[in-house]
Amino acid sequence: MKHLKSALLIAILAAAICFPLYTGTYLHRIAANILIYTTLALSWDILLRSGQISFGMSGFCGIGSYAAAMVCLELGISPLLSIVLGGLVAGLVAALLGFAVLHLRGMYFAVVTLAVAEILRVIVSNLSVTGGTVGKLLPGVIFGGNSFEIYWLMLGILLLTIALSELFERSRIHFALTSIRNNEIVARSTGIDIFKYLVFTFALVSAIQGIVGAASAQINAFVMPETSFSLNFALLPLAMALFGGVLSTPGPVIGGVLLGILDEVLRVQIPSGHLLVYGIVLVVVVLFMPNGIVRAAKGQIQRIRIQRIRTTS
Amino acid sequence: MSNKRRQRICLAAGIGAAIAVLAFWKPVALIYGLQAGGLYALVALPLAVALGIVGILNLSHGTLLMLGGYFAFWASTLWGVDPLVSVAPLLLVFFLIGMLLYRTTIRRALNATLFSQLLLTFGLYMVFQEVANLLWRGNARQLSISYSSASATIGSITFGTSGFIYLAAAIALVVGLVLFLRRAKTGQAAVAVGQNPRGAQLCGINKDRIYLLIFSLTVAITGAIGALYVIRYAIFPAVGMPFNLKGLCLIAVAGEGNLGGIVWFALLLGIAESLIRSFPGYGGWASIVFFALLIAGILVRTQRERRR
Amino acid sequence: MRRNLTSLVCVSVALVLMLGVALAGCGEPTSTPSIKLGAVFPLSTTIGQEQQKAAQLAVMEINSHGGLLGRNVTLTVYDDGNDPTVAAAAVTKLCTVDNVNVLLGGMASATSLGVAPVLKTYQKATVWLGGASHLFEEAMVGCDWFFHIHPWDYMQAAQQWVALTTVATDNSCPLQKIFVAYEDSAFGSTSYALLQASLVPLGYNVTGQSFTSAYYGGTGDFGSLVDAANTFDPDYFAVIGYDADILPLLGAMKEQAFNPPLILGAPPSWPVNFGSDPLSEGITGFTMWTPALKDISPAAQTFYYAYIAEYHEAPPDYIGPLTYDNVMIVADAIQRAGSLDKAALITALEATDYDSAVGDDDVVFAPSNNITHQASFTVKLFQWQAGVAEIIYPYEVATANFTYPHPAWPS
Repeated sequence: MKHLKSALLIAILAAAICFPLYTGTYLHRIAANILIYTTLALSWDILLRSGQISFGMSGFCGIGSYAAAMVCLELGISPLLSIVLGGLVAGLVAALLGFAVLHLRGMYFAVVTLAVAEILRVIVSNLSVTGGTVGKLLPGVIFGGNSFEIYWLMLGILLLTIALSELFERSRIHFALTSIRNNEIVARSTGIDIFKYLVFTFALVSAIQGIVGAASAQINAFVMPETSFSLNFALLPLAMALFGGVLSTPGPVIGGVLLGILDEVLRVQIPSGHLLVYGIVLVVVVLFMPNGIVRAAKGQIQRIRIQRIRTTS
Repeated sequence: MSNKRRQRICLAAGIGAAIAVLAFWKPVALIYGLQAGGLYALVALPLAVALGIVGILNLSHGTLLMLGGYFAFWASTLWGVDPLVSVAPLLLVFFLIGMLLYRTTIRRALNATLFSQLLLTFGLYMVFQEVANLLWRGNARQLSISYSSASATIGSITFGTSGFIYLAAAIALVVGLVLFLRRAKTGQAAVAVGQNPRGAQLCGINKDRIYLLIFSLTVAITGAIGALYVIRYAIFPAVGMPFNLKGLCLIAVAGEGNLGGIVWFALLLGIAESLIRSFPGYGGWASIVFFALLIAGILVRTQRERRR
Repeated sequence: MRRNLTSLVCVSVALVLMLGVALAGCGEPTSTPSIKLGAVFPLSTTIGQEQQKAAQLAVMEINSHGGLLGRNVTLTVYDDGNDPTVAAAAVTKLCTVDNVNVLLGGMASATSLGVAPVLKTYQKATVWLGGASHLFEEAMVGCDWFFHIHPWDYMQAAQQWVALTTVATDNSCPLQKIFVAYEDSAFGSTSYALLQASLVPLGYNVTGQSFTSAYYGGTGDFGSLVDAANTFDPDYFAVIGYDADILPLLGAMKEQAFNPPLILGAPPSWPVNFGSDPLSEGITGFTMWTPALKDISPAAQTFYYAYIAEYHEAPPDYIGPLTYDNVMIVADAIQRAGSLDKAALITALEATDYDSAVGDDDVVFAPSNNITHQASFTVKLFQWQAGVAEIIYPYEVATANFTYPHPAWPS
């Protein structure tokens, strides 16, 4: 069973890497976009494991975008390096912010993250050095617009995030975050420095979001407050993670890929009104598969196995 | 005199002084701030009740307001029914809609995790908004109501008075809700269910029926507020979301059980925004003020709770 | 238990089916060698839908007259999702999967910016309608295959100012003190900045206050803004916002008894049935087209009635006729070029001299700040009079005289 699972994973990985070789530029671009949102969904989930819900992803994506754009334009730094720097800046801002607001919990924390993201957007819109509301043009698309390399870049970022997520799941951090999520008092009494874990996790996921934002800016070759701080970055990944199943690695990934494909398919088939079907799908899934598709599928496989055992014995 | 009482009196005096200063220095900002604050409070109150008692964060709240607004708009455009007159039938219609929503979707989600509830109400929000988009298109529509630009003059200040509808409705609503929750038997049962659902059930309270009643009530109120909204503002499918956000923020600052506090903060917010906008050149900072106040309020509140 | 399984199977089957259908629709081979036009519009918005209708109307007309160069014309339209990345993917599809001959369309500046790199990769003959931001113009420097329809933001600002000052001078209206209420996103802020930059050095007293448009989360309170404007007592009060903001703002002006002699609104489109609201009387605005032009311009009239005949409603705003012109300009060039060869198309487009459905005659392409092929569409000053949007300026296409000052507010 374990070997089957590993073989399956390797096959999926190989397919993902070879995907651009068998498809056209158009599908490369769609896939890269789906990867962007899937990475965000997974990064949101990582923070969720500590019990904290964040609505501030658009803010860190925006910071990453603008940081990458400014270092590229002002200091002539290469696009790839600027993406890394964008992530670092976002992570730094998150760490500083975290010290101030990470003692908040639940809805309070969520609302504050949203407020901070909006404040950042307004500030950037009012600064002339960042181009104000008009935005700034970047010298060119990263990799000269080569859709293969763009796809592999986004795939690499997603794989990095998956690795991070699995690391969190398999290390001591998993227990720390889970215990914080379940019962803080108990967690504290076991000697865990809750605050340290929260700030670390928050900074890390925000750095990922900054990297995604920076990559997105380099792919689009421009930054603009409306698009770099778009609320789509804050809301759609949530739906993807919830759809696939939160608090796990495969959940947000599968949810992101499925919903991303669904969104594109619907857009092509039903140009005006695909959002309606999207909403209906979400409602139906919640009513009948409240723990996400992955767990529902796993549960179903379990049941089939049990049935088989029962009938054979 | 106890410490707490002294604090309260100081606070009241401070507020009174601030209002007096504003009344002389920026009377227009004060007046319009109160009106805007009234609207914020109106929108936040049903959301708070749904959250506090039923325990559900209804992300489709803003779209319900939008749908109520469209009902009132078409009633006025097609049959000449004044929005104020639409309030009563809307209460009824949306109560039924709330019951339908509860029975078909919300009830099942209550047993699931918080995340499922968020996803469900988010899905509902998308469905409602897109249905409105498909039916009525995204363009803004506005009623031409004669009294919506009614005005009065005090001294040298001329100002609009129709916005006080929101303030009056907010006060009436909060008073009504508080009386209901504290005095009426059903209301008290509702509070019990909100505080400790299992305990309340053990006491013989029918939890499900309370949820149904309260949820439908909040949907009814929200739909009716839509009618009030179209008196002064344009209606379009995406109109609800910003109110969702502001309502949520107010609840976060004041606390979901603190209905009176929500009204106070809403007024404070309205006045602060209005004040900032009265300085030419600084209008863009009004939204930052909103978020900054929000963050400050939350931080102060949690500090106070930690100290306790 | 069973319910979970059933629903899981249903969802999976549905997804697979839809995926299959979508992929099947991807690589459709074309059987006849038709002339292929490709466009992206924001189909999830009313403006995009209007664009699609107008473009399809144009194609239908072309084909009913025997097509172009003896061949049928097909128009492939994709939704740009109002998002730069989606727009880029859509245009990529048009260029790689559908292999269109000419690209057109576009609406918002953000989506146009997202599309710019893709346009420069494939370098097809492009007559792009959308994007008014000068940033987009900078992105398209040096692209000799690129033609642009919509006036740039600075062009609009300059044209508007010429229109306004000319009419004001001819009607003896003072224009010294100006108050601008502008919405705080790119649209409003840029317009205000441009206005200030050009007017203040000329000695005008310009001040303004921003507001958050209802479309971007603003909750519509204009009390303080109107009060500030009232205190300033301007000769000219301008509103740069969206349709949802216009009537609440006018209502706030009425209730504070603020009545400047000249009021102007510049939303991309006006609220539905604005003319039937008594508050509309005497309000001026800038636009590229109003229905009144059908009585002045033959081309505008033809388009107007053809649109009504096909879609049983009047075109809501200038985007309809402008998109129709977009397609017709391309068709006219193809006809004159006699082939689909890119160089021939570019030469033919450069020689364009077109009488447009928005009422502008003799539209040509000429250099603007950063590109060489900008269409010469101009902005017109109009005024709401008795519920009709009458054109005031340019005088060659005027349908009524300017009324000044703004009348008393209706009771």
